[in-house]
Amino acid sequence: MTAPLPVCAGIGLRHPHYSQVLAQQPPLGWIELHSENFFDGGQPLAMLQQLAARYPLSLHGVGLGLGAAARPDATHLASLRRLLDAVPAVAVSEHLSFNHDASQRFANDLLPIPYTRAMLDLVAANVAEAQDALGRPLLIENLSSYLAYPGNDMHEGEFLAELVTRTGCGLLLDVNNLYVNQQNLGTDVDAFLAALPPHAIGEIHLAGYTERSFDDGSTLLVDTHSRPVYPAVWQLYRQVIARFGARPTLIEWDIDIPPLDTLLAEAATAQAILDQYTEAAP
Amino acid sequence: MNETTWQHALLDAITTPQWQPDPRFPAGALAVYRNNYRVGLMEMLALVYPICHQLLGEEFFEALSREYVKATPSASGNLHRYGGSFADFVAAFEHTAHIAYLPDVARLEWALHRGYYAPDATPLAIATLAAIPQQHWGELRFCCHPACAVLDSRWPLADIHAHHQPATAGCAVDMATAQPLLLWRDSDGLMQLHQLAPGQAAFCQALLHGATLDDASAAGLAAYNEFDLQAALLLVLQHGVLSAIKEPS
Repeated sequence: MTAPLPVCAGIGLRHPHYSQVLAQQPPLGWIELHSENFFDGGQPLAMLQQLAARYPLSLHGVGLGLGAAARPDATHLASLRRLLDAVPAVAVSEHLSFNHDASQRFANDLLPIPYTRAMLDLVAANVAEAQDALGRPLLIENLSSYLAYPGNDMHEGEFLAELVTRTGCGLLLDVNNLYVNQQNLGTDVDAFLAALPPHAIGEIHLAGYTERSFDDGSTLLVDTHSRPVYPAVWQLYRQVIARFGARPTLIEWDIDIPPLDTLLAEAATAQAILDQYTEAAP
Repeated sequence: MNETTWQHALLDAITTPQWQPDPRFPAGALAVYRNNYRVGLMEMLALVYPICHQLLGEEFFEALSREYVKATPSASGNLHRYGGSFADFVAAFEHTAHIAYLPDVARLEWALHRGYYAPDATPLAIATLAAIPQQHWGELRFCCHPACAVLDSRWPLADIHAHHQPATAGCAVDMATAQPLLLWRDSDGLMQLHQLAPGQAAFCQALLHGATLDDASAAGLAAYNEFDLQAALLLVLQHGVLSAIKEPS
């Protein structure tokens, strides 16, 4: 069993900042990178190994689609396993989403899944298969969704809690996703949080969304990871930390990526909140 | 609609090229997912095919990649694997038919992209080969470095490539010259282009396909009757094309 992530703020490290971080080695609590960008070998893998030698590393997958009614892609799982064998990651995460069907047709996105008993059986089997193949537990992240299956018989929080019970996985709680779902779909934030097993929450994500308007006059908050964390999301983050205690917290920024200092400042804001609750703890 | 058929329907609604209102899904949400799908794949093509992008210009490349995405669903959860058939698509695309070398440029860019991410392999040490009596070399087959590729093109691919790199931008390109290439990965993990002499492309291609050294040599000679085996063997050893000697099966 590897050590867990340090309970402090980290940043999602993306291509524009790789060389700067390697050269300057700024004091970062930990870093998270997208697993698929380092599949196989060559310079990307060598660089990831250098980063992992300097910082606690979290690998965040966007491509397994463990919420599919079809089984996970064996090739993808094998690639991820080789990566984990080559790089010492302290956390490995995936999303509660789907991206493919049994005919190996893919949408390279994080698509929402039905929250039903029948679906739970399928997803639990997928998560168990992935964890067996990878030889370690995963953190599974709640999703930002723009639509919902009409036949849901539980909510996402209950679904995740059941998944923890059945598979022993941990949870990655994305506070921005939760806020976006509250605004878009009317998700009951209190009920969602109340359902989560606190011990399972191994990581938290924070990011900024974008509001989009449509021809029919409707609007959606889209989880673009392209902005600073919004005040309402910081507020919800404080509630989450007050409720569950301090957790490793990541700033994610994937589009219109700002200078590294901007990401570090966002991480410092998260750290200041974590410090309040770390000091307050008995 | 059960869970499985709902997921099928949502994938259909997202990936179907022609937009149709679908009463099963809210229009705004579907617009977001359809846009994510299309833009994600198109951005990947722009990343993998920067020279094609430069040759065609922003607007034309975007239109071409839009058509490619319509015709080519994603078949992997790893975006880096998308776009391998772009060269064939370009070759059959009537609006780019006047740029005859474009498909080979796309083949070059795909090989560079896959080579950059390819698994690592240790180059075969010359001493390992030297330890085998030379009269047995002809029977040997080799495991080759996964990053290596041969492009036996009738176009000056090396010059076209150099013409579009910042350090050598605008250098001369003689379109009448064929430049068959060996692509290999250096010790810094960067892909390099090496121009092959006559016969060497056939020789290297045969080795990559697992031929014996004798058969690869015969392929080189068939392509060029003054093919120099010793020079070609030195070339593949120096560029790390060979990584191990295959056990006889």
